[in-house]
Amino acid sequence: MKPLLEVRELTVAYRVKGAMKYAVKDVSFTLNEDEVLAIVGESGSGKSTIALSIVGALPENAVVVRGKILFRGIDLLKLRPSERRYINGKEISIIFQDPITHLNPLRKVRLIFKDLFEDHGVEFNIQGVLELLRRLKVPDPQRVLESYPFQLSGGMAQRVFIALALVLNPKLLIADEPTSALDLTIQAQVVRLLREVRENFRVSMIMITHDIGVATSIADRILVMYDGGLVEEGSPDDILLRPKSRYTASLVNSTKALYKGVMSWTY
Amino acid sequence: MRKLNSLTVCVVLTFLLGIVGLLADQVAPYDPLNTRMFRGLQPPSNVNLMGTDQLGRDVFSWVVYGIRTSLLVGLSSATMAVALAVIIGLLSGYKGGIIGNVLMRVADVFLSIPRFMLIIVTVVLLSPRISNIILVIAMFSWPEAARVVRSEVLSIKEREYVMAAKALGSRDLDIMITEILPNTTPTILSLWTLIIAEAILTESALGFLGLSDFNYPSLGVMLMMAKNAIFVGGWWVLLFPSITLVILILMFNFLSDKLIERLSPRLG
Amino acid sequence: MRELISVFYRFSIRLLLLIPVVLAVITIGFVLMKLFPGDPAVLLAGEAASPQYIERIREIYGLDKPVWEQYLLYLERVMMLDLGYSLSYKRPVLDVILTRLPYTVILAISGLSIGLILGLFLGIISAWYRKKLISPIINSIAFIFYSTPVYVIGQFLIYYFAITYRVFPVGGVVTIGVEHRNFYTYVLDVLWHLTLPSLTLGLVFMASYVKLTRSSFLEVISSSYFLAARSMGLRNSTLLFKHALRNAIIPVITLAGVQLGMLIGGVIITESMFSWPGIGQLTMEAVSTRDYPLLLGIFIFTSIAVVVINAIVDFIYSIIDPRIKDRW
Repeated sequence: MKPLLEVRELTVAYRVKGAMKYAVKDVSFTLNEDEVLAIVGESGSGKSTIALSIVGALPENAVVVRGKILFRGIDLLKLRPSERRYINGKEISIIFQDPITHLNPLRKVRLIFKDLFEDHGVEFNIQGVLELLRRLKVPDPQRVLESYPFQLSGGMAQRVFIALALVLNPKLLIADEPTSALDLTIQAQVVRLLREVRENFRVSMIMITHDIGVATSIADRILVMYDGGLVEEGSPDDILLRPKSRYTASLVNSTKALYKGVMSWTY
Repeated sequence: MRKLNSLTVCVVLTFLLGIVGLLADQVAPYDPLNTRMFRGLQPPSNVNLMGTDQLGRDVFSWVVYGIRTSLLVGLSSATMAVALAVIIGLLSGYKGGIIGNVLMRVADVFLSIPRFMLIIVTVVLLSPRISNIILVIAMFSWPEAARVVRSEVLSIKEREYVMAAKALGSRDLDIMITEILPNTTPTILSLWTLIIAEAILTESALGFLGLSDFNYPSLGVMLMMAKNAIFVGGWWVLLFPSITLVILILMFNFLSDKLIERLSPRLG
Repeated sequence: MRELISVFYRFSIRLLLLIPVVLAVITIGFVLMKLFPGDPAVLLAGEAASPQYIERIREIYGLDKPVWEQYLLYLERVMMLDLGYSLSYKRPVLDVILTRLPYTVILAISGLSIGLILGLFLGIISAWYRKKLISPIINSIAFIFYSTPVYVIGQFLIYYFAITYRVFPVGGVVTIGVEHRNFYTYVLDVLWHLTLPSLTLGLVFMASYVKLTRSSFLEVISSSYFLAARSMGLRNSTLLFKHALRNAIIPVITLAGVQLGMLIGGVIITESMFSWPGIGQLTMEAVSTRDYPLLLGIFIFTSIAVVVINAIVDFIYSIIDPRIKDRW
């Protein structure tokens, strides 16, 4: 089975006050179709940078020093912005932390969907959007479409965002800390939702999180990152029960301590 | 080897202008108010570096004294305005309450009225003496500055070290002076230079309209002469005072921008 | 229905809040009047008036009564739109003001529009192409214009375009001594005369709008929602117009609204430079003829106009901006 996404020797640095600070150091991994990969690490480990590199949304002071990101054979890093836009939103989509600030406060939700459809050359299918929102457990999708983003609650906004990400049937969905800015109960809902998305839609996912519990409850494979480098890779069981590196072990242990030794994270 | 950055150049230039203004008596070759020494409307020459205006006044001397007048008015009114603004801004921002609100309402009223009209009316009322002009400009500059200071104070008030000082039981006055004031310094300095720029603008505008103190040569007055001089080819009457004025104002505006940039503590 | 009620509610609240400010303005006017040197009755009647006339004036204005009664009388008169009687024009002050008002309004609107259009355009270019050379060039030019007084800009424009090259007239509203056969030529003549003054104003405004537009635009571009929109693969034109521009323009339009109010009283210098017969020039006339009633009347009128316009702008905002809409 040919991999969907192949990241090879990705090295990204940020130019800070003249010096180069390396955020991602020589990271390589693959993602197969229908697979869910979780990238786990603390803040500053470089996991978000990887996500931003895939969609080409790196900040201005970021430099891709080396590496390739192959998506169905095409090197994403070599694409020009005008070419990128055929992939973003349609083949690869991304959802962010803190959904409300990531939606234009002055634009109605329905219009944001409309933009998405029209700019990708697809006819605006409002019924499809409503149906999708219903499947994502959005109550009263009609009203939500007519609202402005600031009128939605955190959980609702994240569902809208997920809908935006899925509506054009992408092959890959990247979730960058989708639960971090939400309340704990909503977090659980969103994780459950993402699990259902995984089951009902044929989409591969990359889940970026600092929460091992979230990662293990949804991923097929987990990548552990520390200070820009890839520390360990394995299945949830491998990571939890047989951590190979000391860092992974400490990560698992600190999480375990929080949950008082409960091994099965029920979400 | 110090880097020659724009801020340094600007400060140096401003100091130079200040020295010119201070030593106007020495720098200017002739008495600017003397209309009997030269013929009217002479182009720039060896005798008159910047030519003469219709009344035979040496433009160069006028410009030099004009710099002094502008700086005099600018510095005095700005200092007065900022002093008042800081006191009122600190009090109303930190203490708040009824007094704070009332003060801000008063400031708001001042802000609603077209400023220049008010200045003209007041200058006409009182006689156009230099001291009045300085007072009037200061009187109508403090409200906006006070507002800015107040909002700064409000945001600083919520910071941890202020809360800590309060918890330790320091008196309000002490807190205001030792904790809050130092942190507002970049804003205050920036406001000060900004008001200087505005004051120079206003002072020369009054000169242009003929409402200035005749004993203090104003660059605006020369520009008023230029209004007619350009019709008979006296381009020098327009050019030299204009450039000088623009440089003066520009320097202070620039300082104002850079001060805020360089002095504000970088967060994060 | 609920919408209508909240609109009405918001309107009335603003109206109520206006009253103290207007009152304050009128009070300041009264104080100023009291401060005018000389006998107020003589001032109001004119120095050449007969003693009986002066006495009558004293009666009408109640100048022999205690101060607070005078104040109330004054208040009453202003409420009834009586701003006094102009000495130099021999007409009610309000009349004189209203005749001149349209000229100032035309000048203000054209100047502001030019400044807004130029400022928005240049500001967006400066922000969008911030890495290229054009950006610091635009910023520097804007900065220089920002530091240049309006009469310097105006004088230079006059020198080049009215004197050296004789393209535009030096001043006035219409060419003197020309009979206009129809309305059309009249309008053209006015527009021709309007060019230089509004251009002068426009250049002054452009400077501050460039700055504001640029920073507002940059703020929008670096925002989270813009990042997310980019990641959705939207077209550049969509990003620019539907996401960036709309959001970035708001502070600029706010400033324009506020400045429009200010302009009504403040175009004094431009008007006197170009002999434009608006309220600004009227003010200067009042100053030179020592027509105090007129001066005072202008002051009150323009101050109240500014306050009212600001309130209207504020009100319109509360209707348009969806974020504020819900607050009430």
